[in-house]
Amino acid sequence: MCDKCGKRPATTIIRKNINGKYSEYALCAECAAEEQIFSDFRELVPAFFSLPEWEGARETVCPFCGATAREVRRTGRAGCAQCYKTFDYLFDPYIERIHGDVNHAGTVPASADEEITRRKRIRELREELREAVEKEEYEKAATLRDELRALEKKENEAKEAE
Amino acid sequence: MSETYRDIAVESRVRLSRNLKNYPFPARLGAKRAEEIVEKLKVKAEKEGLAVRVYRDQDKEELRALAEEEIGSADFTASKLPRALFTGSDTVVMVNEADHVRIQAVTEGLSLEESYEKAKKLDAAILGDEEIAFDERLGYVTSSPTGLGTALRASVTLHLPALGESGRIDRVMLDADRLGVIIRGYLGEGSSAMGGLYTVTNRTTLGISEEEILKRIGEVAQKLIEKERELRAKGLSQNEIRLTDRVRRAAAILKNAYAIGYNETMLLLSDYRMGVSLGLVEGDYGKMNGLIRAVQPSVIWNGSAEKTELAREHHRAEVVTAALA
Repeated sequence: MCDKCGKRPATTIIRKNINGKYSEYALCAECAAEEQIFSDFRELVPAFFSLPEWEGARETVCPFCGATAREVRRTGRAGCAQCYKTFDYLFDPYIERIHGDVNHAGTVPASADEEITRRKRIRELREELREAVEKEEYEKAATLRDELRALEKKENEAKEAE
Repeated sequence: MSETYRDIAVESRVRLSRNLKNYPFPARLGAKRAEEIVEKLKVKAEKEGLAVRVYRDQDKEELRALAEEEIGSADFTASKLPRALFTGSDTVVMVNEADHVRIQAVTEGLSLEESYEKAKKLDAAILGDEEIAFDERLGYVTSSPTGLGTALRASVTLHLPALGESGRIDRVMLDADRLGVIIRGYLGEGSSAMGGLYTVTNRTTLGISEEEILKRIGEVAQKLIEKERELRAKGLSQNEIRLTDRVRRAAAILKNAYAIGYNETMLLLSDYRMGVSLGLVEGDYGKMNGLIRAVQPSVIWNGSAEKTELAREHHRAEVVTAALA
């Protein structure tokens, strides 16, 4: 439970340093956000290493792979692709230091190619639609048909653009 | 074919790192899903005619030797996950090292484009049907932020004994760093080079295209090669007798040794190789290149029946004399 409101489940651990003595608070997301805005927690001493402000106090966890901010900081590596978004505040400055402030300029994998993905989805939808009709699931078939039509329209537009 | 500078360029290596979408990277993958990836990709590798070896937590000695031959790696040896090596004649695919897949292609001489083409082909064959972790801004997503973007490392191994001995290499290293290019001693500790061997590698992978990386590394390598040739020619004209003597002695020892240590072998191979390039002795670059790997400590250890220091030195001498006979 949240140490402040006592109502919602605690999701964030906040460490506070008062005259050299550390106290830990477990807060819910809302109370944590509030504390972040109001002043006294601004004094928040970097709990781990020399982190500015909130970085270390938040026990951010990657929702996809479960890597924690501490782990990322220790290893300098991401636990999964999602980590680069979850811990962008750790990675982005680092990436800029290594590579400069730049975007990807190289090739794109086949699977990320929009056209290819679209064609693959169209094939899948046709198959699903056929199955739905066969099983007389007409409501589902209607939804599938709408999605299929939308994609086919895009596909035709792309062809015309060429 | 364009010149490959085989007198000085030992080999050109291209590595591509790839990760599958929807799986955590190997560090957070877990044995079960690691096995899943190995099984899935194994099928593709077999179709490609690659030799498949699956490792779980065994064969550390073998893996250490493979790391020295740059087929495996230290991370790959240390891992506890189910993992695999797919090997072809000049290509290797490592599954579940730091990233799910690392594709590597090596060709002799300065020939980065050729290596890249091979790696690219293998990438399509093994991963063409897979969904790959990719981000519009970050490119191919890798476990280490140092490899984001193209996730491509291009490296050329160069034999630069004259540049090394002249002490000018340190200056060149600093200049190259400004271009995002790293020059470092190969096999040696820290920046020192074992046997006059150096590698030239790209430091940056993001915000630069594959072609641009290859071009840049190729250009730096070419400059180094020209400088090395110049210094060698100068050395020969100023010190012909000394240099010829040094080279011939190296050749004589390598061809006749009965027991020889690693450091000595590398030093002599360096002199011998330089002698061949200057036309002072006869020799074959391919065989000499092969020896660089074949005489590495773990490789020799694995090949030697008796595990004493002397037995290993004897085995090394046998390997060297057989190759140069």
